[in-house]
Amino acid sequence: MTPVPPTPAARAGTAEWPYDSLDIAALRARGWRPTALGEFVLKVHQLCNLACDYCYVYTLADQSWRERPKIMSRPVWSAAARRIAEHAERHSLTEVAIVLHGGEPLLAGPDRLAAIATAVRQALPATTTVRITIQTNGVLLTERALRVLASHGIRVGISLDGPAADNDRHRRHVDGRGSHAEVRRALALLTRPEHRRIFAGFLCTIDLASDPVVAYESLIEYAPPAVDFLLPHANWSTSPRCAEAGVPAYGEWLVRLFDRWFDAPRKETRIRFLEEIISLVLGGASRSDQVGLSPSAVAVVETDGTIEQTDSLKSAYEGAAATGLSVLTDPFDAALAHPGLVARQLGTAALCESCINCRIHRICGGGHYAHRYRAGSGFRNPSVYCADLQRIIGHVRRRVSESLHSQQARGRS
Amino acid sequence: MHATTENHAVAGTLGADTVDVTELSLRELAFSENTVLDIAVRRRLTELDEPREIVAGWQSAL
Repeated sequence: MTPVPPTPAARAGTAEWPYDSLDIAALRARGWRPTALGEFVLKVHQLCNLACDYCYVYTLADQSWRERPKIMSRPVWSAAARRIAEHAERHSLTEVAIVLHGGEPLLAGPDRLAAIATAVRQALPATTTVRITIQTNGVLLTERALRVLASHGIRVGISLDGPAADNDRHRRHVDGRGSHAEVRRALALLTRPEHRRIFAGFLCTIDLASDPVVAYESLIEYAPPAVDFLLPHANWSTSPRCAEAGVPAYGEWLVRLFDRWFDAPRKETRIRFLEEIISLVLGGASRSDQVGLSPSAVAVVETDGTIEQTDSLKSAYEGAAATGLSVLTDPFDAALAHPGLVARQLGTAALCESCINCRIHRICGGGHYAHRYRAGSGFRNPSVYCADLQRIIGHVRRRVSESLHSQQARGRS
Repeated sequence: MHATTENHAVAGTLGADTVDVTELSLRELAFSENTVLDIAVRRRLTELDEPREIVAGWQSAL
């Protein structure tokens, strides 16, 4: 029997979706079943050695990091490994993904990260393969750290926002120093032949002050296997972005990026966000929670063992990611009965009326869940980036359609 | 899957919200030079041949 989680800490006195009205028992009675979790984010360190001004962990609504242990302890990671294995076994999962995250996960030290990876691998059934990555700012990436990570099969994703002038506008040390030079040093190590196989690619947060083509070309200098460009977290209530909603400045930025990437004679790298839009435009599904209606199968384990929803919800309000569950006491199946996680697996049923009536709702999927938040009504709203999504999706549809027509014409001639 | 079947007219046609590739033949893609579009269409055709549940990955890591 699936344990029922405690009532989530929705804000007192408000009636916000999904916590006000999502009837999970009725959904189940109608035949709906949750998708098993397959991606587990382990917050191995709560602090960061940088002080990026847009970071959703430290600078936005939720400040729960202040109350948590700085570092994940062995009892917590052991419990997390057992719970992941239990979930994999129960749902006969053939593959799971583990993300070592923070704060800055390398603050936990490479040996601790290796011990966590080993604990997860040893706990999982032999029929389940595991893919382990670390997402780091790169500053602490040394030759020794890379050797340890490589020997434990841990792939490395780097957060970098383009060339020095752009990156260092936001990704700084607490004293104001930029981080680009240190990341460049780390990349010189990571891209050596002996380490390149563990290079997963870059995450780049979009800044309208940056040139998208310059940002993209500065990243592909390192020949990354993948890049993703992320919209800065924002919503209708707490973020400056809401004042500009309706002006698709981010959409225009993405259009320029798309054209540069799409028009290359050979594909230079993956851009996850744009690749998933193309997949959706071609009638497929999305593998990213930025767009599309695919169910989210992600759970986060904090340094104290609490199980949370995706941490980007921390941009909405204090406690928005909480479930009231812990790997020390609860199976991950309990999280599958939590309204917050259920809402991420409902497809069109999680969209508001105006989204459902929009012709591109199967492609945008309402946009990133965190970007739909509005105090008082919750997460059933259009994205604060709605105009931007319409702009880039419309452009991608047109370019893909035109290109297929000309490709067919060439094939027939 | 649902969306492609809504717009059957001509391969590559812009439909209500999607572009239909179900009529594209592999011959027409044989001159592929591994552009972004070539690889995207091959992914789509593979997914049509081997359907499986696709989940949304977490955007804050690669």
